[in-house]
Amino acid sequence: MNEPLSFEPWWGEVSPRDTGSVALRIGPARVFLARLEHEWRLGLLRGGEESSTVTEPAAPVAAIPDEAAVERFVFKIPATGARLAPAAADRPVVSRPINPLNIPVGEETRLYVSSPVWLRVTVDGATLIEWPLERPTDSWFGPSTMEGEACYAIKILGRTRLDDVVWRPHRAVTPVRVVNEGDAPLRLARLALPAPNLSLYGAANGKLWTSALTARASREGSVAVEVETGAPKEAGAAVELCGPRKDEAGSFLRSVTAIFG
Amino acid sequence: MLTIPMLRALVILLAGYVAARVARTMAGKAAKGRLDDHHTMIAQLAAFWIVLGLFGVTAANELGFNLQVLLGAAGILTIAVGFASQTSASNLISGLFLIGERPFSVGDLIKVGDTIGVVISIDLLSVKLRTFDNLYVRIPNETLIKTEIVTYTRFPVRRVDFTLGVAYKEDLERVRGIVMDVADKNPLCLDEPQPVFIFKGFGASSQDFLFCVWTLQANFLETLNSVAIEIKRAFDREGIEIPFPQVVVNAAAAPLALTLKDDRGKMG
Repeated sequence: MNEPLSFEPWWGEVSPRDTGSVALRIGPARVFLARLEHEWRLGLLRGGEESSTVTEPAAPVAAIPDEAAVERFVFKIPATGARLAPAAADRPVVSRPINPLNIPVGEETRLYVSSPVWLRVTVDGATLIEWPLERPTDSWFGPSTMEGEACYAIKILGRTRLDDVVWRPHRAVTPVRVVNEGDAPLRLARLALPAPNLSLYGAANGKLWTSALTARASREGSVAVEVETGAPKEAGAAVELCGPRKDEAGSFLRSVTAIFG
Repeated sequence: MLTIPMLRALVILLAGYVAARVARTMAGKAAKGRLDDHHTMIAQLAAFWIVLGLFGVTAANELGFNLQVLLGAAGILTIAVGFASQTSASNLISGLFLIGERPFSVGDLIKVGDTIGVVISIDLLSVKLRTFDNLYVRIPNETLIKTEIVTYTRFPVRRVDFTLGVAYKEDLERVRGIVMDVADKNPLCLDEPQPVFIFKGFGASSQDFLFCVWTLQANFLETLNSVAIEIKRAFDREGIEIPFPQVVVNAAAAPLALTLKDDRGKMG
C-alpha cells in the first residue's frame, strides 16, 4: 500500500500567453484556462481514474474540448494570470477505518484520513469558480432521516499509520487524534470529518494536508473537537494555501453520533 | 367644529398610530432569526393592531363613549356577522389552526387532493399554490384542515422508488448486484441511508421488486431520471430482460391439427 510518491505542486499562478489556452492535469481531472481579449474561460473535464496520481503542469493547448464543462467570466481588461489553489470540501466528509476501530477507556489513537479537495480559481483576488476535482458521493449523517447533516461519503479508508496513507494530488490528508476520556469503549465505525472548518496546507513535494484535529470523547457523550492552528507536525514546512470555509472557533462540541456515527 | 375632547382623541389616535408602527418594527426585530417569514409577519400585524386598538379604545373613552355599551354592541355585531359569514369564519379559524400547527411553510412543495404545488402564501382565509404548469391555485383553509396534506419538502432527504420486473430466467441475486452498483456509482444517490432492494413477488410475467435509493431533496428529479437511465443501460449491457406481459396457453385436450395451405397463384 505504501506509495512514496511526490508530485509537482499543481497550485500557483498560471499565465496563458496572449489570448491562448493552457491545460493541466490534476489526478482524475483536466483543467483548462483560456485568457481572451475581454474574458477568462475556465474548463474542467473529469473522467480520469479517481486513483490517479498524475499531475501535468500547465501546457498550451489549441482549444478547450467541447465535452469540458466551461464557464466564462468577462472583464474589461482581464488580468494576465489566474491563481489555482486547493480548498477543502464544502460539507463534512464521512470515511471509515479499514475495520471498526475500538478505543478502550483512557486510550487514544491517531488516524490519517483523506478527503477530496476543490479547485479554486482566483483572478485579481476574486474567486471565479470552485470545482471538486473528483465528485464525491452525497451522503447523510445523523441519527435519523429527519435530523442530521448533508455530507459527502468517500470510499477511502482511514489509516492508523502515516506510511500506509495513499497520496493523491486531488486529496488532502487530515491527522485526527481521537482520545477516549469517556467511561465506555468508543467504537469508531465512521468518522465525519468537519472539512469546512479546516485549512489546507501544501508541501513542496506536492502533498496536501489539512489542519490536524483532536477529538476528545467525554463522559457526557459529547465530543470536544479542536482544530489545531498551523500545519500538522507531519507536514514539515508546508505553507497555508486556503483558510477554513467556516469561521467557527478552533474548538467546538458535537455529540458522539455527530462525529463517529 | 373641533372640541377639546375631539382634539385629545385625535392626538391619542395619532400617537397610537406612531406607537403601533414602533411596536410593529420592534416585533419584527424580536422575531428575526427566531420565527420564519410568515410568523414574523403575523407577529408584526398582531403588535400593530393590538397597540392601535388600545389607543383607539382610549380615544373613544375620551370622546365620552361608554365602553360597556360599545362592547355589548360589538358582541351583537359579532353574532350577526358570524351567522352571515359562516364559511369565512370557518376558514379564518382553520387558518389560525394551520398557522399554529405549521404543516408547511411558504416555499414548501405540497400535495392537497390531486393538486401538487409550491406554497406561495399562507393567508387567514386560504393558501395559494403555484403548480408545476404555472397555475395559481387557491385552497380554502377549511379544506386544508379537513383533508390529507403531503409536504414533500419537509425533510432534507427523500427516497426515490423504482418498481421493476425482470424475466423469470434472470438470477435475482445478479440483478440486485447490478442495480446496487448503479446506485453506488451515481454520486447523487446517498451512501447512507443505503439503497434498499425489496422483493415484491412472482408476477404474471416477471419477478417484481422495488429498488429504493435516497437522495437530497434538491436532487430528487435528477436522481429519479439519472438512476432510471442508468438501470436501463446496465440491464441492456448485462443482457437482463425486462419482459413484456406474456401468456402461456396450454390446450386442455388434443389440439386441432392446423395446416397452412399456400393459395398463392390460384387467383385470377
